[in-house]
Amino acid sequence: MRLQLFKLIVKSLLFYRKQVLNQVAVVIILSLVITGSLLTGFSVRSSLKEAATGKLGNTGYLISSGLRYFDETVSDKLTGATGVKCISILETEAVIQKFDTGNYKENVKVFGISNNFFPFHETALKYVGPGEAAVNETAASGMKLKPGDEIILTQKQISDLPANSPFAPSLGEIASYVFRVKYILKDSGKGNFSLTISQADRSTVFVNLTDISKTGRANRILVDYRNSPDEAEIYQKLKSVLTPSDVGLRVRNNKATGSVGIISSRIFFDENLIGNIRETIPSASPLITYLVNGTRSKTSLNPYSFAAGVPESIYPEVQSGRKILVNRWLASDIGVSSGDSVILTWFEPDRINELTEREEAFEVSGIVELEGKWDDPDLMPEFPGITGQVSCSRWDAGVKLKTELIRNKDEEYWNLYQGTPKIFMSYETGRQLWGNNFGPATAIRIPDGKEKEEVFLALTGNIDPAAAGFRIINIRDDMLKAASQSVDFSSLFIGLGFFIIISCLMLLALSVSSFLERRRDEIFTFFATGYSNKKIFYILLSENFIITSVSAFAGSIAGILFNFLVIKALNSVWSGAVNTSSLSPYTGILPLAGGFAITIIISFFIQYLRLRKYLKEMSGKESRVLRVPGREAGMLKRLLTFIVLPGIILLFILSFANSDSVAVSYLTGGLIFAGLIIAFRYFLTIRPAVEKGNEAYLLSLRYYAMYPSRAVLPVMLLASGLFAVIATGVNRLEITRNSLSVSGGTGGFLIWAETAVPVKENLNSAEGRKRHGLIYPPAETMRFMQAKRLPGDDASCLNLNHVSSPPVLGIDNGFLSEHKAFSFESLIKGADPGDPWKLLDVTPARNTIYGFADQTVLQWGLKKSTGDTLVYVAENGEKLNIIIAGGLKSSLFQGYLLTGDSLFSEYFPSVPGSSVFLVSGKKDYFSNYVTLLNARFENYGIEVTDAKERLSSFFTVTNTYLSVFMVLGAFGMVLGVAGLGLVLMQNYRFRRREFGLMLALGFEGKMIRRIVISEQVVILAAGLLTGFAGALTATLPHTGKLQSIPWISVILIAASVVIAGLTAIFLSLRSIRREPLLASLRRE
Amino acid sequence: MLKLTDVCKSFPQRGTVLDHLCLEVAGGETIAVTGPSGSGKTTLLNLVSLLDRPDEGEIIYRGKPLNNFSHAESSEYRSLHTGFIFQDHLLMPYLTVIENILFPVYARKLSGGEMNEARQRALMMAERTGISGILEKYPFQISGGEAQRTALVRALINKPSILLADEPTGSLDPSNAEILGNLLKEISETEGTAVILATHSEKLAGRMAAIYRLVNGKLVRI
Repeated sequence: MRLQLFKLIVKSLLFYRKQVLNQVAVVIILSLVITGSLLTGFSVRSSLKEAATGKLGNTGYLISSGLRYFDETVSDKLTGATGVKCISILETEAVIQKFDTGNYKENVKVFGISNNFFPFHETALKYVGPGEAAVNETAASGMKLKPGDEIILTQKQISDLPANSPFAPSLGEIASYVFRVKYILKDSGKGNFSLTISQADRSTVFVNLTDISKTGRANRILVDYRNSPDEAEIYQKLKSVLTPSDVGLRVRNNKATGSVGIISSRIFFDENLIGNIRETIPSASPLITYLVNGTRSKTSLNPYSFAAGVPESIYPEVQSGRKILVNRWLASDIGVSSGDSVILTWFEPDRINELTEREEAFEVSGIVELEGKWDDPDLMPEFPGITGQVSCSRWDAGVKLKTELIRNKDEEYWNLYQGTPKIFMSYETGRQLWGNNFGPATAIRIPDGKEKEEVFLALTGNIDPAAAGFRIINIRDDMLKAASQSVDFSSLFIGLGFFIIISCLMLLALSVSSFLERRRDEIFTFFATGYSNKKIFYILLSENFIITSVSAFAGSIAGILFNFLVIKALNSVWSGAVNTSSLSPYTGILPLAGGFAITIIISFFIQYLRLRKYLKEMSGKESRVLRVPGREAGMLKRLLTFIVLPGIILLFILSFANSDSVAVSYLTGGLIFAGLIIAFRYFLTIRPAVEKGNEAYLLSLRYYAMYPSRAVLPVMLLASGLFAVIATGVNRLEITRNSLSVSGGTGGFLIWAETAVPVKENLNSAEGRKRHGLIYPPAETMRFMQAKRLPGDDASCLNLNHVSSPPVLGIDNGFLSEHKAFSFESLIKGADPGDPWKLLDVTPARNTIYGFADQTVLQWGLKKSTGDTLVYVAENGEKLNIIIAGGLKSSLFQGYLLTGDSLFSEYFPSVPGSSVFLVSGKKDYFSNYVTLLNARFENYGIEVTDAKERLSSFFTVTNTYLSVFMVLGAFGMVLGVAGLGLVLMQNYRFRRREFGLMLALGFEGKMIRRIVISEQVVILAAGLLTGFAGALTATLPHTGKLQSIPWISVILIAASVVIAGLTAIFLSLRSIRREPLLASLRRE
Repeated sequence: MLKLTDVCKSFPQRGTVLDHLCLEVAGGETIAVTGPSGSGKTTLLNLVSLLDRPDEGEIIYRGKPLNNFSHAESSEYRSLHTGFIFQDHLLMPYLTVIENILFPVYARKLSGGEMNEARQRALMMAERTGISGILEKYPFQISGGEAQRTALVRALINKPSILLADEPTGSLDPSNAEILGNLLKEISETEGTAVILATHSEKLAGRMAAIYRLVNGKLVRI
């Protein structure tokens, strides 16, 4: 019995093979789009994962010292301790210039490597020796480099001492090197090596580490991922191998006090490191020494002396509070004795670049002789610009000193006593006055008689890596996770192909209905010969299942081609959406099976519903919906007159009153759309009298009055497709006048500039302008908003990966607050909407600050909302919570997390200056500004961008997606129209008996053709009119101008639709041939 | 009025259906054509209405041979000179009864006055056939008998000379079949329309003036 039924099903399908082709075609296309989209998402993710592992090579864990440096030999010791290969590298950024042509490339990643780098990654053996460089293909092609070419590499000087540390020398912050290109590295040769989560190809240069760091400092360790220990074990092993000198600490004997001292190449010790040392050596006592600009008594001034805040354990004579001891030399110089008051003046340590002076009064509690512990030049930190200088006037203290104040006697003191402090106070007092973001101490003394070697050994293996700035990151996992959570291209393309899918589903429903109608007599025979409802349902359902399964399978296979084409497009014409050209098409069982299954489910569901309804009608369980046409005319008229029309008028009035409201204009457009559909429906109820020449029109109207859905559905499909495509096209993001205003995306700024080498100075200050030659016209009209940058993973829409640590900018929020620049999409509760920027100066809790980010980035890149927290690690190794306090409307800052510069400097003091600059000024001087900046900051590796171009580049991604939507939407509409034409053709076949009757009753063939043509034309025209009218009404008011509509695309789409419609008409006409029509009347 | 001479018609699957058939029909004459299923009754009607063409022989209407009529001439012939009633009425489901009756009129280019005249005729014919009360109804709202009477009026709206009826009572119950049969006869007498009726019903055939039987492709008068 089963076999017979199966035979019946197969025979039926074979017999109706031509008729089922419609369904087959529709399901194939549906499956192709769904499976293709799933494969595209799979391909993008797989490509990103492959790119991630390709970039990392054999790297599993990354040990980073952040903004600090360590000795490169640490990795060798770690290899020994863990048994797993570890190598040190130095990661930095630079600008490179081709020597002969002067071609310039900014934002170049530089890796200082040793000869173990390439063997670590098991690539072909290469050796980059001193003076040599290997560049990747991106750099080579961008600058037309070949082996043998010479390049100049300019970057910030690699130094343990942060350039903005108090009294760090001003000269020597920029370093330039000349290299000869030895290799052009392909990806397989590790040219694609990167530690950043991003798919974008970046110019990269590999040089010998010792070329850019003479003292062999590194800032990253790569740990081989194979057989790697876990994070906790790596941490312990790292701790066990670290020596003081590895992290820039020097242990030395102090002659003056007979104690052992520890100093740092960073000059200042931060709190955590002091705590770590004291844990190991409880007697360790910190001290702080600072340069005082002036010591003033009632009668005299002594310039530029060092003052020391010293520990009670070694200097019990000092008193707490504002009581100081001065040495004899100073006392006689300014004529003070015990009990006298003096005023000390110094530069605020955290605002030293601004030359903000502070002064306070102190009481001289005693005079000490220049001998013994009071004659200790080691108390002065080894400031590179000061230590070893032959005279005070040659000091490079990083700040402008009034050398005219320095007298001969001061020079004599320097010659005899060097930096021996003249002033002593308690450590607590000194810490209060001069403790800064870099730390509260400049040295540690161990007074308990330990030997130097003893102290060194005690610290070895006990230095907390976190306190020394180390972080251990499972970068392999992070990158793979970021790739796995990247932008979901599957959903994206299913969304973009929405109209194709909807068209297919509608066509499937229509095809199934038509097919069933055609077999009405046959199905009636089933009933008449005793088949049960259930059996008939089973037979027809089985047919549908076979049709669907075979088609879905074929479509899934075709989806592989769809995926291939989409990936090709993403790598080329649509590369604006992905910012890379290295995506590859992947095929996976899961997406293939998924696409197949989804197609089967939704297709089968549609077929099931149609079949069930049809059989219910056939079996009499449901009466066929045959209604007297025209009865709804009254209701439709009332709807139009009392609801739609008044609604439209009201909304028009509202939209004139509030032309910015997108909601109002879209509501108006939607109502017009609905109104026109209702009007069309009403039009079908009209019963005009028969007049000469209107017979074709009359007959068509009568037909569609009975079967309104056969006209209204195609009109709706066409109209809604056009509406969506036009509305989408208009919403292409563009730079408008509002974008360029202060509250717009550019914040009113003309230029966005970035430097590879941070700039210490405040360019709005006289000092800063003078230093950088910004004093002549038109520079005086420029104003700068500067920002410090902590590197991170690009969180803009240009990065497909899901990042969780975007780069942080410490911005001059006061400047933005003053100018009320930029606008916010969202703010947390409690924020002042009149001045949100001041929130960036607030610390809501310990190690917690506020930050802002672009709303788009928050939502799509970081997948966070206002109020969520991002966790970073501050320079001192402690966790820093940054609460997202607001989302900016589309702005220049896309990709960054913004914090206030003062709090930024507290947690990341080693960021030596500003790397990001927003420049405002007079629009007419724009090109002058660009020339000036390029000239003045060439050595800093400046990259100057027009602010509106930068903003526009972020729109590229969105606009590319919109273009894809328009293309796929248009295809969907064309498909819908073509498919509808096919279904209409089937309808005409169904109506052929009617047409045959017309011929039999004397109607001419040309009248029948006129009927067909006019019906199709009216449907097309109604669809186009409704779509256009609705879309234009929805979008024109708030775009403000007709030019914003992408007319070319719209006309092309409309033309495609019309051509498809006309083709359908042509094919319909061909099917209406005389003989078959008449043959339908011949019955025996 | 109508003369068929040596008309032959074959079909590939069926072979020769009409074999040198001859028939003469005078104006106003009523004839019934009987025969078993597949004997060629419908084929004969199709040839007379120019829905099909003979392989051989001649069909002459009012002295004019119809064999070589063009498509336009055939349409005009069917519009003005013949009326057709089918077994399953073939009313347009989306037209009311009155619109279905006037349907053949739409094929002609009538003036306003002619249109009114046609409308008046339709109302009169509807009255005569007892369907004036259902003129605004749709085919799915009326009975089979009413539908077939509507088809009859439609067939007569253009005052044809020849009414071709192919098993007009085949789908009707005896009482409606009787009504329709009476109407056919009555209208033929009053309108002067010749009737060629293809039927299995002996009773219906008996109401026609002449009865022919199709045997081996030829008509034999009974």
